Amino acid sequence: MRRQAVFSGKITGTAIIKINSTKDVLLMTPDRLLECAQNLDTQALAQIHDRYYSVVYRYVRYRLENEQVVEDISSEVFLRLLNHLHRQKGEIRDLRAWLIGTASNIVNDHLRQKYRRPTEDLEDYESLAANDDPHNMVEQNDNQRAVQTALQQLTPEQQHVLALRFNLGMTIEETAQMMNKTIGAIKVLQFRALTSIRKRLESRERVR
Amino acid sequence: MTRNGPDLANILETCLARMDAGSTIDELVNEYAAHSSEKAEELRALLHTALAILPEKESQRVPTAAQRNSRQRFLSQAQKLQQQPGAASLQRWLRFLRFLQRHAGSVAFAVGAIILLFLAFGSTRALPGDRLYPVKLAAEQASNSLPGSAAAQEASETVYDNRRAEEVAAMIQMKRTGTVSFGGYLSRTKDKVWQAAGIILKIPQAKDQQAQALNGVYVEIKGFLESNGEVQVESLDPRLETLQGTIARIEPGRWTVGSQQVIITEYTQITGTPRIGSMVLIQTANLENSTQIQAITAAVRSETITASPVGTTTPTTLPTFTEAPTETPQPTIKAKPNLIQTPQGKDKEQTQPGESDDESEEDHDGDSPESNRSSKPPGDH
Repeated sequence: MRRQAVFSGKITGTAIIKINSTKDVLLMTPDRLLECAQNLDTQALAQIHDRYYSVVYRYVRYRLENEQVVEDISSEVFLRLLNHLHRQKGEIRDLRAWLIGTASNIVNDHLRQKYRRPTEDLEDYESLAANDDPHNMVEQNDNQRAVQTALQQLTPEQQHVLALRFNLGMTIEETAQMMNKTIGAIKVLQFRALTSIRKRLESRERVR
Repeated sequence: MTRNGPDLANILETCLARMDAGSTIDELVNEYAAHSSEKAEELRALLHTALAILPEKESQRVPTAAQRNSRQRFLSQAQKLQQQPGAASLQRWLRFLRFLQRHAGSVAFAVGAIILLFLAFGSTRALPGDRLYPVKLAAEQASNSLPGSAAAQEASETVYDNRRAEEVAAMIQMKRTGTVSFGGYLSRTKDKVWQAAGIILKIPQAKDQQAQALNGVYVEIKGFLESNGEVQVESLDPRLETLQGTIARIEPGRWTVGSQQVIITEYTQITGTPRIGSMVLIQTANLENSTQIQAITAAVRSETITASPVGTTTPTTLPTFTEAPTETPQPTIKAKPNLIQTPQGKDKEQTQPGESDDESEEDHDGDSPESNRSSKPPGDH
């Protein structure tokens, strides 16, 4: 698993910060960046997007297969941030946590809608590369699909914990903080999620 | 979850961390099998599952086009919001409201403090009858109740006393009428006009005798300021202070309590039998231009105690004054021993000068304090 630095903190003031150069923005802490973004400062907003888009995208991508939907949802997360800042809806204590939390909510909404009106994604069948061994590729894709299906059959909370830990590489402490749970609860949630996937994969093997 | 779920959840997390540090699944499972072979295979399966759900490299790649499109959309939307009429001022207001919401307690306190400050400042010139006058009095009271030395508090009380009189003087100048309350030394001019703090008082006939008794004494006056600048007195009370101590000397019209001389007038209401060495509780009034104090009431306790300094009942090692056995009451009065212990003056007759065998100092004075006692109380007291 990878480890990533956590950008967390509390926005304490509403002082208007004048940005003199792009370099200033690059050096800003997430808190300062967010303070500037509250004034809809373009440079600060651009910097936020540049810093956090990949995290948001990878999170959404881990939970959903359709790339177009992933792109749309990732983009939607930032538009919601803009809306939040513009309407001054409330304090954002940790920008990364807010963005991933929002992404999780949108993904959950999307999955709910999808379960209500199931559709086949053509893209799911398009990942077979032309130059690879067809037999191996089919088996590999089958396995990937099985894992992906098993992942998507977990509860949203279980999906969320696995996405944070195994996709974004967060530590158990960071995950607990982000999900507002105890470390013990995260360990149990993770254990249950992995056990559930294991059982699904094993039953699939037995069927085969 | 299995019964060993929570334990296995902890072991799983430890193993994941060690895998992250480079350990292989076999190493970890073998290590675990040494402790519990039963669950070793379950752990192995879970670790393999963990490996299986790690994201593929392909899915970790963020498409540049997608990021560029999202950025463009994001900034374009931000620009639209910036260009909305009144957006900036609305934002400023919203930000201000959020600030208020976040710091509601501090803001309320600061606003309250500022309001109080303005009220206190604005009320300094308020006169009786004005809306801010109660604020002024409350501010003075609050200021006086702050911890400080007794001298400082007394000084501030004097300032406030003077202020009350000045307020009435200001009302007279402005030809205002209304209920007033102030203090001052009561005096009577040659023209038989009563006044206090330079303010002319109209004392009703019923209170004339009381005024006579309090002539020269610091009094607190409540009344109504009339348009002619005179105060129609409604109440007239001496400002009393309490002095407690042992009677050290008894002279005509004057006692020495501890080292403090106290004037006893015909209006002083005395209860009990004053004797040297007796404990006495005196309510005194300040006299104008005098360091002496005048007793309004004097409650003498029958028992004698150790001679002590003024204003304290703390026993000292000084010799005590005790009544000799020969000073016991005459045998004809059976209740005498009990009466001596009675603080209030039912025993007056037994201790009247000339009627007692008492050889104590006061009897030798010839003009005992009892001769000063009067059934006529000083006014309402």
